[in-house]
Amino acid sequence: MNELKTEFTDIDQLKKLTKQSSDFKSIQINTAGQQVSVSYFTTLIDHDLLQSNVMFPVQTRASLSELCQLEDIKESIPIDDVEITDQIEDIQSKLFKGYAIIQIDHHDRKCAMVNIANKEGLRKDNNTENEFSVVGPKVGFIEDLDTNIRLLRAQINIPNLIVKEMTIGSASKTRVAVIYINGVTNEEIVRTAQQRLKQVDVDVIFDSSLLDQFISDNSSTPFPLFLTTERRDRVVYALISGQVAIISDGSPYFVTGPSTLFDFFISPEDYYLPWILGSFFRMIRLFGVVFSLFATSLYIAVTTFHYEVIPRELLEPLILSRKNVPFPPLFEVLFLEITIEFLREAGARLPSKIGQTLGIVGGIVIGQATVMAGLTSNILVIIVAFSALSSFATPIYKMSNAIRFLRFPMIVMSAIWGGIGMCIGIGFLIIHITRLTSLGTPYTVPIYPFRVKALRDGFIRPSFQFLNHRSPYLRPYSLIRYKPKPVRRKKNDFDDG
Amino acid sequence: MNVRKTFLLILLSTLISACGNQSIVNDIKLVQTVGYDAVGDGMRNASIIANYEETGKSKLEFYVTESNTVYDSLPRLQTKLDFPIEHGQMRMALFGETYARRGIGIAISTLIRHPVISYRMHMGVADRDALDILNVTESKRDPYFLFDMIENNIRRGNLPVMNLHVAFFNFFGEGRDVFLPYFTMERGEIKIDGLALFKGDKFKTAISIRDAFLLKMLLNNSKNGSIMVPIKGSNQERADFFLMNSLGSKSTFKVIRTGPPASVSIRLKLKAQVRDTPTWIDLTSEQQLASLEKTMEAYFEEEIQRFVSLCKINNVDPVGFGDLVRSKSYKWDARDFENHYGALKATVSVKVTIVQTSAGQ
Amino acid sequence: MRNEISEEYRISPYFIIFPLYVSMVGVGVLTFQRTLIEHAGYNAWISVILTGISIHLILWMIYKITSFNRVGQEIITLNHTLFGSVFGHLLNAAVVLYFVYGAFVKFKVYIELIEVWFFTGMNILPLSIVMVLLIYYAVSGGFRSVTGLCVWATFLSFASIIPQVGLALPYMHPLNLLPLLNHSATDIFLSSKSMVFEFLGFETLLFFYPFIKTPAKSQKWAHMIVMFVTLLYLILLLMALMFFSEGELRHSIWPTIDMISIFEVPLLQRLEYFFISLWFIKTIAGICIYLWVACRGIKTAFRMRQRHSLIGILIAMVTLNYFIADHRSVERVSELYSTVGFYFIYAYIPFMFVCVLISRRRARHFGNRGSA
Repeated sequence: MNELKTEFTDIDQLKKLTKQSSDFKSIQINTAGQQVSVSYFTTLIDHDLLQSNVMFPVQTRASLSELCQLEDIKESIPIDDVEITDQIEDIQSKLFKGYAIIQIDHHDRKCAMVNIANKEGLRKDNNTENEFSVVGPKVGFIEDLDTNIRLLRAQINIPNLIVKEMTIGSASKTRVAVIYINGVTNEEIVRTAQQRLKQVDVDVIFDSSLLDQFISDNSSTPFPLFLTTERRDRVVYALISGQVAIISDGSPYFVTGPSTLFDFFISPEDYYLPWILGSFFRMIRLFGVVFSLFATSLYIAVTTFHYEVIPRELLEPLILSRKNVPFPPLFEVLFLEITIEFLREAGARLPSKIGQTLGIVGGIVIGQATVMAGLTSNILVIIVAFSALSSFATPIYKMSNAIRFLRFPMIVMSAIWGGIGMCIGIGFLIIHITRLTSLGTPYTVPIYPFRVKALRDGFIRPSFQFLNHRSPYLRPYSLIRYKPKPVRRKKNDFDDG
Repeated sequence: MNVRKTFLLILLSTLISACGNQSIVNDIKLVQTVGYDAVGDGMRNASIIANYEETGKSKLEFYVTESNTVYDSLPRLQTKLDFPIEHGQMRMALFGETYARRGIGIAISTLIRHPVISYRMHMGVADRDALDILNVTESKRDPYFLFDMIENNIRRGNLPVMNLHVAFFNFFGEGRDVFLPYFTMERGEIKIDGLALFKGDKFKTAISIRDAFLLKMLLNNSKNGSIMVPIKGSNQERADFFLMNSLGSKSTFKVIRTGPPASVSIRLKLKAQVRDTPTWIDLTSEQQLASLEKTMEAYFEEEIQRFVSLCKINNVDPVGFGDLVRSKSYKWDARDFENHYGALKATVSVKVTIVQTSAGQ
Repeated sequence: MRNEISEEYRISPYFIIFPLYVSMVGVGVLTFQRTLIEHAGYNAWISVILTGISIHLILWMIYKITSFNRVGQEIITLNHTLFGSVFGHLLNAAVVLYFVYGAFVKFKVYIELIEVWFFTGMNILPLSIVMVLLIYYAVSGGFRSVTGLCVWATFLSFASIIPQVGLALPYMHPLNLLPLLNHSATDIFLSSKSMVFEFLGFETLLFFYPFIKTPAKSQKWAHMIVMFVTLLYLILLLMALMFFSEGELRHSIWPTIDMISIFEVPLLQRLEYFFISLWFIKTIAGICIYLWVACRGIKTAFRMRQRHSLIGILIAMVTLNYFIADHRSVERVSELYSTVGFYFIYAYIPFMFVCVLISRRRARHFGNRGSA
């Protein structure tokens, strides 16, 4: 059953849960004989409205002992959207929309809901810039922590979403928030994350990516051990499946974990498309990874050592293309690969318009010229361009960087021992990734430790009917996300009822 | 972490010092087709190496070396070349007739010992010196001309499935004999003229391309093979011919008596297409078709009997009767079987089905 | 003597199929058909089945031995408790040496394969050093890292074997298998004996038994994987028997690879080069299991740190590999291993089994008397 639908009987229970979040605030105003409390989520409300239109009138009138009943509040507050209610569902939903709860007697079941929701404050343009998708929302995070949490709360509208804040950075004193869903995420994961964050001793936190490296299990690996994302749907998906999200103030990037190798090849778009297309695109992406890792080293291995493997139809074009190249394949490949890296690096530094032009001009001109000058073979230019292209198909930038980097050791190994060298490289790679962990969870999880159930959402994106389970390796408290829709019974024959 | 540092240090220093035997694809000479001829006491080895200059304009280079044995040909060839020789792309070996008659055993045992040589390679026998045939391929500008020719004829013609592995299978297997395609020249062009049958490693006799079809039917599915079948009308003196195209066949062998002398029954099911017939045959009539089937059955039964007796006369066993009998007898001796091979009795029954598909009556 | 292994390092019961598969199926799978038909000819498939059955029996004994007491026992401690300090140490040294030797044989045979197919006459020292570093990296990650490598190796080796079964079908000559049973029982038993070499490796279970969560549950999986491996060998053998004629098979040194070389796929004309390269990972995983076992054994028996013993063994392997160069001595080395392995399996394990039975009975006997 879905355990996220928590039932509350009164406000106190609700408050008890929401108090765990550090952005929940409850202010007590004590005057003679009366207790007025104002509760709200600081991240969801407009502070100006709160101060001038709620706190000021309430405080002044309370001190005059003019606040005896909830109805008095309606009169004293210059806000039209004030509702007095004791419906707990109503209170809950409004609280998460940016209303403040005003209670006069602490034990009164009734309370007044005052609308002081923050409607502004987003950056003008908070579209995702680096993780673009064609289908689906384009909402991304910005550099303000409160706004980011508000964006999250807008999509996860339940009190179980817990935000724990802490301050890190001896000079910057940056606010860092650890976010998880109570009742889903395993406490041990949260505790590990918090513990590691507490141990971080650094002067300035510039970005969440810094935290990512400080708390990672193994810092000397090219692989990202945490998923870094600026997309809201990705973070929400991570939270709902039982992961922890960490963000620092001043960074638009959330760090989610524990992540596995396969998480990095999943795009949110997979879930917005029909499952057949989603699976197809995911497989294309995985193929792209394999291709970009091994294509150029395979070229070296074949042309340098294993000429037997070349199909005889391909023998002539291959020999012809390499006919005038004076270097061994290794230097030829390194030359082109490094050129591509230059183009990428230069393109990233330049303003986007110039960067694009430079990329195209540089790519075409250099490619053409090197082939004409006989420095590289034209087949290789095609292979290198392909593998560069396919490496960018990986949705997470950090992962595609890792893959592009790993090509170089593979190239060197294949230039030394051909196919065997490649397999030595693959061997090192396999052992390396099996030794990695992310927040204590093995990195290669559906493969090792082998989990058939988790493998379901690995290479393909299954239909939502089968996606209702959370991955067991995260050890979530509730395994089931939703009830799959009942399987429609097959008709007995084509035209039967 | 000292361990990690030493680890990296050893790794890097080894990598720098190490390098496998490179054979960069454009810095080697790839022998693609070879020919073996007998010359006097020794032999002559012709290697064809394509020199790729421009797309579609490769030049074939011929290197002919003479030596006493096959083993010596490689070092002798190397003295004529500027780059190392590699055999990993070799796809064809052609034996001259005299060489084949003298025995191809040494050549075969060198081939099986070299792992770089593909099992998909083809071998063939020329009706003259191999060099003469190979010289013709020069004008084709394709070092794999003969290879492709054989492949094409296996797929679309009358040749049974064969390659180096099949040849090894027959050569080293007991109760089977090797057969290889047999090349001749016609009007300055190379032509596959049938099969060369071997006894042991020695070329014994050649059979025509029509008989090759019979062997194909007996050994594998004869799909795409075609043959002319003679037919006589009721009041005709000279037989007319019609063309039969095989759509598929299946042969089953049964050992009736293991002997000696052994007795074997061959059952053959053939699905055929008949397209070009003499005008007096009406392909739309059921009766005519039935009689056509009868004619073909009788013809094939007779032809296969003739083929078997041809094999017996030459004491060659391309079909593998020996192997067949071996599989059914508890004790089997190759020599013993061979001695009684001439007395082998084969009963043949053929069932032909004509599948009529001809469009445009 | 042994402290309890923490939960974190243990593996699920079904997981033992991976290390068992990897340690059993080695380079032998590429070449065993030829040695197998030396005696039994084309009836050798019966030998495979016979050996498979006997391995099941031994496996059952292993489970009886290791579940000697309730915690789960590995062989080193058992030797010590059963035979006392002096004999126990001697036996332990022999057992550990056996596994080191096994790892070396795997290492050497694969390097020879590389020399034949890839780099004839190359200086093999740098390659062996890099391989050894790779092994060090894997084994130093502990049992979990080794089993992780095994999982990948298993998948890769399946990926390279399974297509072969389908692709080779059109080249089969089922007649080769007939007549059935034209070899004497002795011939078949002699072949069975040489088949034992291909199954060696499952005895590593004697060491990693305590590393399994609820070890008793794993027995079913162990039997299953032995059955699977038997089936795999049987299929590969039958394929080779039907693919080659007997004389051809005698000439073929690597029948499984030769079988692959008949296939052509687009872009890869010679599949066997691909296959041998992939087999590298499988081999490394096998060696890692053996060496992990050996180092673990040394640790429990002689209290030596695994890192030091591993480095020592690896250096010895590289040196030995450098000096044993020609094919004949490699053959001698692996023949010796196969003989030793034969006695390890069919003499040592049953012997241990009997000892364990006796000591358990005696313990119960004394226990009864004590209570009475």
